[in-house]
Amino acid sequence: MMMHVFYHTSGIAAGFAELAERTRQSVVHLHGASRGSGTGVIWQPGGVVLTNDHVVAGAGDVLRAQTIDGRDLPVTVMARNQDLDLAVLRVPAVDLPPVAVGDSTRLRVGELVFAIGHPWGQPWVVTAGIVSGLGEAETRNGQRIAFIRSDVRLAPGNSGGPLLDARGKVIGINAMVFGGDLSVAIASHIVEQWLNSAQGRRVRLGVGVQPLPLPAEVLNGRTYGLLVVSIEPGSPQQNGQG
Amino acid sequence: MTSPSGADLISALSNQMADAVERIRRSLVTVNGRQRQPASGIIVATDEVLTADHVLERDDDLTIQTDDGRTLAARLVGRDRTSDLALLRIDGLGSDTAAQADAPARVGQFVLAVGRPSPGGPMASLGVVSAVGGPLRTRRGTIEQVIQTDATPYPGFSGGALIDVTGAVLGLFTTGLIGGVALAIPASLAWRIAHTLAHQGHIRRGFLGISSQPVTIPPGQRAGRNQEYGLLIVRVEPDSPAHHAGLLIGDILVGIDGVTLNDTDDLQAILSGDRVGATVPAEIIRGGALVTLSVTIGQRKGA
Repeated sequence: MMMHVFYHTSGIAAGFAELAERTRQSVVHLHGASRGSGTGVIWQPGGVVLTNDHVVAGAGDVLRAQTIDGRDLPVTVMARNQDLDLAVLRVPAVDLPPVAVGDSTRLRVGELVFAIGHPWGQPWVVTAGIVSGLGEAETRNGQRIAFIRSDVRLAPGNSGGPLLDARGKVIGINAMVFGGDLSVAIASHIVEQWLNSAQGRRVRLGVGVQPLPLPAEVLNGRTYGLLVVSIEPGSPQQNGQG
Repeated sequence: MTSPSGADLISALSNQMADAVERIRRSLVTVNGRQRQPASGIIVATDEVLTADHVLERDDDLTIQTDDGRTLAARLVGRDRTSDLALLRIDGLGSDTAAQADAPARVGQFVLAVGRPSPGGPMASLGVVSAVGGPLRTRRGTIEQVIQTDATPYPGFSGGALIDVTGAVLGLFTTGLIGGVALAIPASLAWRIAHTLAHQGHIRRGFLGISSQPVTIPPGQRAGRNQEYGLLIVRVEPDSPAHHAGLLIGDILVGIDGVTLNDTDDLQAILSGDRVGATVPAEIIRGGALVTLSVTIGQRKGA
């Protein structure tokens, strides 16, 4: 019995199970009218979802997102980039927890990584491995994009899902599977660069917000406002220098 | 005292594996010796690289590329087809030599396969030691011991290193012994063969010139020997040591040089390099009687 308790409260296996359980909350299942599906990851508060462009292209006009707690949500496509194979979506659910974004420029070959996705449509599957290699490719318009190769086992349906490091931070978006044993992810710093340009160079406040109708006494010509519901540790807001 | 949390342990393991790759990367080179995919090699001495024999499809015009980006000409010192190993000499190499692991590989141990299939940096895959065993008979011959792993063998990984999580080499990685199967030649054996290749240019192995298959000897035909199994000779090569000794098809070989032969692995073990040229007694059962012939062990060609 003591061994049982020990197993569940400490050690690498239990630690990894906790990591997987926590990060699965930030993953959605994207599906269209026809068969086939993809994965999306909550990248920012307010229902901002990252995925692959080819997942959006394959879904037709009726893309929807399933959350792990069973909600089936409509999807608005905010921006797409075919060269980077990235798309940013928005779902009308502000309570979905965004994943922490890691620094993919500091990744090393040999680091533990894991993926969450829906291979062959199986929901929220976790697979683990290591960073096998770090590479660069050039898009048609000459842009250099960094990618991560890994030996994490992926299959169709994992596309658009997160590749996460040993601390549960997203370091890439899984994009391609070669021959079943070499998976390629677009590095998260490339995703951030594109996202900044696609969203019109927005600045980061580091707060989680939730829209709500304003009380009559503070209407001031508006009907809705954003309630600050969380402040990221170390963010400009918490430091009071925003 | 509080024990480290699971999250801390995972981060520590992750860092340790990345450190292991950092440690081995300077001792790994890209080997250019065939038309298609370049392969990998391990620096075993300040001017020597050990690689896989099957990745060298030519004897000349060989080059290697180092971790610090140098391209250097390499000369073939020797090949050992049986163990799928080849040794290269490179003037001015002067890089870090790889460290062998202190202990042999253990089944279940975490390992990394690390190669340098292109000059763009090392590549790695994670797995465990699946089996440690031998001798293993392949089309190339019989090798004393091999390590099997489930780490993914990426194209060009042959000649690379199977390392433990400290970055020490457990074996030289190759898929050439059995097509496509990820195996490693244990480091102690690989280094020993490298040493012999450096001094002799080849590995000597004994040669008899027979084909045989293990058979059960009926109790009534054991000719006084307490031996249940023997090797039935099914072919004798013309002009071979076996032919000159007078061995015939149908003879049951039961011993050589005083060593009992129960199966073909026993025979392979007897035909070691140090017996080449030695004249030793061969015991056979012929027509229900024990006959002792004198055989001079030859040297296998192309070994």
